[in-house]
Amino acid sequence: MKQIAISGINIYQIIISSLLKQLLGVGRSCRFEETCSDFIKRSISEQGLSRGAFLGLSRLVKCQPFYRGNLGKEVVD
Amino acid sequence: MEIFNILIVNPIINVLVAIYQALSFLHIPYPLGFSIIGLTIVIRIILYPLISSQLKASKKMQALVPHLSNVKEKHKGDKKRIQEETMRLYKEHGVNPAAGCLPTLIQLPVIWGLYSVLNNVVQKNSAELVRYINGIVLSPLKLDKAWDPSFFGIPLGQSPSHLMSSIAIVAISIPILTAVFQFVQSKMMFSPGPKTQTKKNDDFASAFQSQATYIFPIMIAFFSFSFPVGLSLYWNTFTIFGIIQQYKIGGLGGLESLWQKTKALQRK
Repeated sequence: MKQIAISGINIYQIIISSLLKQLLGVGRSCRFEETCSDFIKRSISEQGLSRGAFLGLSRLVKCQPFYRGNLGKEVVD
Repeated sequence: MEIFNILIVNPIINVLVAIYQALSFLHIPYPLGFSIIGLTIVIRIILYPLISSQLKASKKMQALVPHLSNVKEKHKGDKKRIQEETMRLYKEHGVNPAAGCLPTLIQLPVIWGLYSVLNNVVQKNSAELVRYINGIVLSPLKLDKAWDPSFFGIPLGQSPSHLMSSIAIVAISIPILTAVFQFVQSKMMFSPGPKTQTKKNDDFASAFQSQATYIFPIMIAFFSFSFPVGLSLYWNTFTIFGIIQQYKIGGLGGLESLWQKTKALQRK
């Protein structure tokens, strides 16, 4: 299951994300040093599917201009 | 879907019909086509600040990539120090980190809303159209008769694939033009320079990303061949506005090298 989720994110990163950038007319838009999809992949592989997905979702919520915390690489715990 | 209609579809239809009524009142020819252009420009103006800040941030961040790699090399292993130095660099060069994925994604439902409205209204027959529009718009905007769906003789409700037998040149030029505008915008988006990411599994990913500049315009050309012309009119207005905005903020970007090559060829 973990592997399927990670492969899904890989497909998103390679195909969907590239096409979305073209559609929206913007280049890199993630404000974090490690992109949200990379972070979700890492947290799923380190913490398992459900906890990893939860951490990923809370990370996505931070990807907006009102979040003032750390933008560098975070520790997954 | 009710909430999507209330928040996105119904306001879009109201603005479209308001522009249409104003143009008809002024006796401007082909009011429907010009209303589609006007509506797209209104939406683009609303999205302007959002996209501008995104483009500015990504341009400045791209310029900082070599400095950031230096910092990472210099303080290898000391995460805290790298973080501090990165923030110092951002501050020094006046970079606000990009606004993030969420504000960018706000555009998606708007693009989808415009698509669904136009796809819906350009294809309805007269009686259906008047009933549908009048059920949604505010009372001063109500239509008393259906609009003329042609724009400089091209029926906005039909797709180029249907027009092949009657006006083949127009039917072929619409998807080609759509692809060209999309290509210009895609090319401008990514300025050449040092690669921003160095991930392990990224040979295929970066190859796909650079190929997407060619793949996406071809996909769009196919869509515009099979979708109603009214939608191509919307998409091309949307893209041309995007090209102008991109040019104002980032210049020619990745198109610069192509431009230089064409100039060099002309000189020969």
